[in-house]
Amino acid sequence: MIRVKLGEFLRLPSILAGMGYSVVVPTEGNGVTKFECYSPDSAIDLDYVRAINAPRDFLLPDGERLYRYRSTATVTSYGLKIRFPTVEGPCPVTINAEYTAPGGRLAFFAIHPCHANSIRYLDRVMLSDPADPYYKARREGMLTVVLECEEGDDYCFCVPAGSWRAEEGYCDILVRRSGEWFLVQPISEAGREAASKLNAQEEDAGSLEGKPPKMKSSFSIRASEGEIDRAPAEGLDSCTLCAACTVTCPTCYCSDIEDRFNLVDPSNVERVRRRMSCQRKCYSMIAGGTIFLKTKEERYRWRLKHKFPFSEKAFGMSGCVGCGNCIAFCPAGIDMRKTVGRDQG
Amino acid sequence: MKAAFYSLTSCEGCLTTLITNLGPNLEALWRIFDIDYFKLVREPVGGEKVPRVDIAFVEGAVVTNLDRKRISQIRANSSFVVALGTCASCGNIAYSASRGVDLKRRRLREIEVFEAEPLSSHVNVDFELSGCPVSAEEFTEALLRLLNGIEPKQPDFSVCYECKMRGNRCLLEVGKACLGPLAMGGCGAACPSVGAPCYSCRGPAVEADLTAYLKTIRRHGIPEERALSAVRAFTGKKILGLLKDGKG
Repeated sequence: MIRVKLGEFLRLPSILAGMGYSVVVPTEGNGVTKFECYSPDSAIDLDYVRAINAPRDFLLPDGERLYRYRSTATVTSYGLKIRFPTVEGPCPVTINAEYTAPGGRLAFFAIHPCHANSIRYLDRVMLSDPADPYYKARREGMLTVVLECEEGDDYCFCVPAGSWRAEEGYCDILVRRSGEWFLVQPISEAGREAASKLNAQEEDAGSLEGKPPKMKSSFSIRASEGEIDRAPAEGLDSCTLCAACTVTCPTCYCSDIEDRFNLVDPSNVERVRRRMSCQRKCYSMIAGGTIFLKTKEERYRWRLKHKFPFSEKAFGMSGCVGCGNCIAFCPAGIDMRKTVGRDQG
Repeated sequence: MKAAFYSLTSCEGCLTTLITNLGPNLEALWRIFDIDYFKLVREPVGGEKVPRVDIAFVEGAVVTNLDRKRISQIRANSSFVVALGTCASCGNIAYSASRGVDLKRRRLREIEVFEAEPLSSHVNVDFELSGCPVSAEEFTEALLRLLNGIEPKQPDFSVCYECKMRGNRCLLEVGKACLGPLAMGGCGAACPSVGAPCYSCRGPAVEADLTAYLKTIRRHGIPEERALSAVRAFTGKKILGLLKDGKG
């Protein structure tokens, strides 16, 4: 473990950039903290408790191009009508996919343990058979610098959610703040290499053990399918379906596939992956326009069921890391802790 | 394939936007389509006569007796009618501005003025493309989906969705009467991203809920009246319909 002062610690992003990483740092601007790609004039914010976006935005970017293809469809001169190729004849398209893997290694600087755990969850989802090649390519060689939280804000509940510790493999360098010092504990080989480039003001023989942050509330989470169905869902009458809960959630990974056409060359099509939200109407829409999740309440309970019982069953870990973003950024102030939390004692 | 671009009572901002913002796509548009009528670009082929086309784009609200005649002629001669812009899809500012005014005295020779209405109040509209002005990208996307035989789609999310995606601070939190939760998205949250509240220029979102919105702004201590006056000013028929439902 080494001890460095703030100025030296802030050199770490440029050290990582020098090692060939695309570095993502928390920046402050307009009253919110968000993760952005590092540039030498980034306003790095190390005092943040919550960020409006998450590493997910870089591992599964919105509008990511999956591949290009050439369609053999041409513009004809017959009258325009909506038609589906399978009804009126074979699909008039041959697909010659052009795929280029995303390059570069990612480094996340000063993420919190809850973010590290969100990456762990995304790994379980995206790398389980069959592995998502785009995610895998971005994930390979990733480095994380985890900055411990001292105290959560009103919405944090990583201790009840059991995700306050950055698990092995999801933390290359663990950092704790102690007064004006930053205690830097490299954990992996890549982490040691990066930390060795810092000019250590003091060496320390001890090593850092994870420490749970102070929480403002303590409760236990009870979220089986039946419990979520029976629990009260308060405040939903002021939900405007803005989907802020799913946009700011670090573990929401649902996506939609979209074909982007081009007017100058109509046969050249780009297939992209867009973010999707279970709070949106088209999330549960099937052919013919039937929707399964019609009401706000259905969508709300669906979101919680996906986070807790469904994720436990499918991936062996909860999809909620207790960051509290869905509560903090909800314009209507809907608090899911009232649905899944039980007061202790 | 034939296409035509018509203008009813409006500022012609939508068609002007297409001309200025389509860039290289404008040329492609002329290559792909036979465009018999696009008055802003060139003299119409058959004069003022409404040509028979496969796809008609109509901007503007239906205000005068000439508009009323025109829109039914357009409908009769076009296989697919696209309402271009918020005037055509919701009525926009003209809708609320023409209510409660003595329109009989505004008559100009043979032109009679009526209360402004969106196209859908008079004819069957196949697709509505919102925006004040309409976005060139959305226009191209809808056009290309039509060319490829896919139904064009309207955004099913509100402005908030894209605003949060861009990582903006919520304007309701700082006490601004932003209409984001009510407004149809697709603009990339252009106004809230620079700190200006959304005034819902694209009309209401598909699942807009006025009662929930009013509850939400009350929670932030924003006076209801401020939000409602913005609702009344810009968003025309559809959102005023919500207002009626919301108020019982």
